[in-house]
Amino acid sequence: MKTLITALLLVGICATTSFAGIRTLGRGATLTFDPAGIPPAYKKNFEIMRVRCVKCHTLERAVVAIQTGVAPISGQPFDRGATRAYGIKMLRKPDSNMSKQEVKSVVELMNYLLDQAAR
Amino acid sequence: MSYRSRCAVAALTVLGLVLAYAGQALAIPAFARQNKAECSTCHTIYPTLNEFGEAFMKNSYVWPGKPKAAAANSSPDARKEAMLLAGIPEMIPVSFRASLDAAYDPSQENKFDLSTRALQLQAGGAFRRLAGFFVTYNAYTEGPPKSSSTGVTPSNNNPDLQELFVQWRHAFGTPINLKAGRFEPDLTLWKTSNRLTIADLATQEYRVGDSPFAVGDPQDALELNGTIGPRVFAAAGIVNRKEQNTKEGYGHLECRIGGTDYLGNEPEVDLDSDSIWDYLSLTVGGYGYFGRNADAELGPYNDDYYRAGIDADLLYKRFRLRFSGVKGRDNAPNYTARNVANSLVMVGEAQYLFGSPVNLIGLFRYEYVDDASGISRNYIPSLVFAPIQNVKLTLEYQYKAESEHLGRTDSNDIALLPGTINRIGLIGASFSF
Repeated sequence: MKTLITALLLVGICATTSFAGIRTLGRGATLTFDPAGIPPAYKKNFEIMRVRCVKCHTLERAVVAIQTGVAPISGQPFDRGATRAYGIKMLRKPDSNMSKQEVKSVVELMNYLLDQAAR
Repeated sequence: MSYRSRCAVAALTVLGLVLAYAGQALAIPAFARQNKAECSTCHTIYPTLNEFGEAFMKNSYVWPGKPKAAAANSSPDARKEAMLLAGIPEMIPVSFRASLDAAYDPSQENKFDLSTRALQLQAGGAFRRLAGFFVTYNAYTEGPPKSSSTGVTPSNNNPDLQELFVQWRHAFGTPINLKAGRFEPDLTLWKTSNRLTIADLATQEYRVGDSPFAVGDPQDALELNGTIGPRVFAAAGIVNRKEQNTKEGYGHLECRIGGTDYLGNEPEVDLDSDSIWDYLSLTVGGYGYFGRNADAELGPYNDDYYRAGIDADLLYKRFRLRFSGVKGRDNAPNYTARNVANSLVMVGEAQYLFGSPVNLIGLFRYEYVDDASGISRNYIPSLVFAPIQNVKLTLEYQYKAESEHLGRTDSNDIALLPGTINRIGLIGASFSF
């Protein structure tokens, strides 16, 4: 029994926090999507997001936006229109170094995560 | 190079290296604190604005878009609600900007001048979404004024209020904003602070004769401005000059093709096919200013004058090209006699942005300045490095070929006195907090 309780506590502390269908890891600036919760079809997309987006900001922004449906800085609704707009914004930022294909992949991933969060 | 000069260069080098390895940090001036956004949201290298920063400024320092709804970081805290209802910013919106510049000018007695520094207080923000305000106060400046060859400090060179204005956003429910106070009239595409170099743009700082007017000077003014659709911006205003009743007037119109519009919206981009407009944006603007200066101490004549200018700003990926031109006419710039003075100033500047995120910009500027007393051709290459977002280091060289007007020849060409060459090296560091 003790082992079971200890295991449950450990899981409670370390395991993913979940929010309406998406799994995350960490908190605050280290908050990120749990790679284990990303389906194989989107693994490559997530890898692009994990490498490219954190060059300028933490993934916490993306997680909060998708979990709450509100972009954390602008306070504007974060929906499919917003994922596309942010994608274009990042494409055009001279320092993002992201290609169209990469932006498209990240937008697709965010749309998938939005759908999951809405469940 | 003297011992003192070598020490100064060594100190600056060490400072540069330390900052270069300081790692990532978020900039913290007033707007960044209020909006919990990093400098690069609105700037390439601070204080140069990017397209979104311009949209933020044109929107009276209110974040573009609809009022924040159920924001993720909103809190039911009663104190926050009280501040919101009172219209008081949650935190005091004050920040500082410090500049340390060193000039090397072999034509001066003090060839290597380190005594050029400035501390500027900046405040800005919005009262709910109704009005925006902005203040800049020169708390301390030391060093040669800008009118001298090595000058890099504000021309007043004394503690002084540079800008203090409030902008009533969407006055009476119309799309028009009403701006009042002391501010740089909306003439050119760029505020004077919106530059990378230590030197101002010649089109904004040049003066004719004894006239105190320069396009980039702050004025006591009243202005109406607003966006016409998402891609056209217009402004018009009147200026009150001290100790005279005659008012001055100006108008400005600009439009942007491609890029982020003036409402902060990104352009439509097809993610499946390529177009040159995916990355290209072109902003074009024009302005006119007319006024009258009088100075009884200098002479009995009024100087009726005008300036007419055009600007263009082209951005393609990491490449930026700026052009600015202004033509002027003064009919008594020295107040002592009717003496028409025609002036013409043109500036072209090319920039290339390096780094991911951008932390280095190389630029080259050419300036042609005919201020009716002489002609100067300036060549200014510059390297600007931002080790962290709120710190800017500038290395700049100014080559100025200057010659004086002697008058007009029979064929109406301008005769010039053989010129002088000035070569000036500048190192600057500025940081905001």
